Amino acid sequence: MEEKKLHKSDEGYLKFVHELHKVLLSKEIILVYEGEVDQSITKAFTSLIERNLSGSQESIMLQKRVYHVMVECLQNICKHSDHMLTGESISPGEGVFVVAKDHDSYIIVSGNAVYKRKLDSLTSTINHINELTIDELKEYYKIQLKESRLSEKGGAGLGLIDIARKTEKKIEFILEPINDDVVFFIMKFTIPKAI
Amino acid sequence: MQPILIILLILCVGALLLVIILLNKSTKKSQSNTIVHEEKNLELRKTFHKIDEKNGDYESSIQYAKRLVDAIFKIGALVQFDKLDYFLLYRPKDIISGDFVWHISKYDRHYFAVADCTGHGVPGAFMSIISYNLLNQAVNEHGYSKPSEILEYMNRRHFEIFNEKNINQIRDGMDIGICVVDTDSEIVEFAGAMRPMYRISANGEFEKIRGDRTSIGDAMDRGAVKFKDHFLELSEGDTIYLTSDGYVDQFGGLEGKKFKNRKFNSILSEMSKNNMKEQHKKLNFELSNWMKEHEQNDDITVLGIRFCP
Repeated sequence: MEEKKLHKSDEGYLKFVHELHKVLLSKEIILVYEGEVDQSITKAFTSLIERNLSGSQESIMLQKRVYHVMVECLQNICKHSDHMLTGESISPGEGVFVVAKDHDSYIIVSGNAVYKRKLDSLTSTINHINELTIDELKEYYKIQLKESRLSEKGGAGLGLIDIARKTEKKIEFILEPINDDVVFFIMKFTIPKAI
Repeated sequence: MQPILIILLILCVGALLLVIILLNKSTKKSQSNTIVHEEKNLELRKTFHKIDEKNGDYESSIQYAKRLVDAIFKIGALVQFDKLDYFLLYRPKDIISGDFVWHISKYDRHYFAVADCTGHGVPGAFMSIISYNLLNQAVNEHGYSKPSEILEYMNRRHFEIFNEKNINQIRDGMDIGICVVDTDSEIVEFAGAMRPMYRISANGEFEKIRGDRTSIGDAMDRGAVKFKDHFLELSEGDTIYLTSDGYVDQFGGLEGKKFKNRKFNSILSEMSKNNMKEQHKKLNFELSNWMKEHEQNDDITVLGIRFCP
């Protein structure tokens, strides 16, 4: 009786994996990861995606864009994640990371917990970046570069500005509250194949 | 009369014999002296020969080491960069050197380093080879992309390799400047361990970006020191320089003093309109002109990189 029960729940779980696999295939998800992000994870993922891209005969330009956005995202998770419950900053950070593609672009999604007090500057930076044209982005990038040299705190979102410049796409994001102090912050970057 | 004559004769013969004996003795002595001299001469000749042989062995062994070092560092090999022009002034004090230049490219991110290891000659070269491999590991195997991360990795590994179990408090290490020239984002990222980076804009504007005041191999925090990244905009015609301290510390001039930073800085500003080849020539000329009869006191390296999109 006990054995049969175990068998049944196992089967349910395996069916779930099958469903998950079907979702991964239908959404053309190349990589999905949840957990700590450190240097070895970053290296492993970038190598994996590089191999995947070079095998799929995508242009060098696209390869390097995808590579660049991946490194930025993973570094964001690694360096700027906060604790899911307390909101204290953690190192190495942890979060969720997805690489997928559709017929005309590659999609990179990253999510991690962010302490609410940091949220305003983060969302206003992204909103500002999304409002700018390519030329304005270039100018803004230069200003933030100079800022970064004047103060330790300055130069906010250099990595994000650079991504926006290179992908020429808006950065999409959503916020899901975890508790009173912490939200789960998810960003999506789109890299057009015809870049 | 007769006995007296006999006695005299005996005395004379005796004296003669004595003289002969004495003479004989002294000749023998000088003969033996000559033999000793010759023996010593032979010994000396043998020693000289041995030294000569050893010197030859040493020389050819160093020359062979140089071949290996050259093969590893590919000094003088022609590397072409998209959107970048460069020159390398490299003057080791001895045949092999404690200065080395490292380079690697990842898409449009070009990593350059100029390092100055403790000591020159053979020990310097040992340290160079180890450090060069660590740099490659940092980027190729671990995927570090920021100069500060590379320095932090170097420092950790150096501490583990050389200093962790070193009870003599002798610190082996190196000073190094690393920059990443990103020709796509048009920026330079720089981090330095006791070395600065210079940037001269196309109109001759001079800027010196100081690195951190920590050498690689420093035992502080058991090798877990943090380094700072500096981000600089890169415009067309900007030239950046990484150096060892050999050039500015070279003795020379009429009073046998150091070349000094100020003089070096003004040369860099003055030649902002010159191309890389001309700059190489100019820096070489100024150095030789300064040194004249003075001996070179350290390894000398200057790497210049110009952004020409």
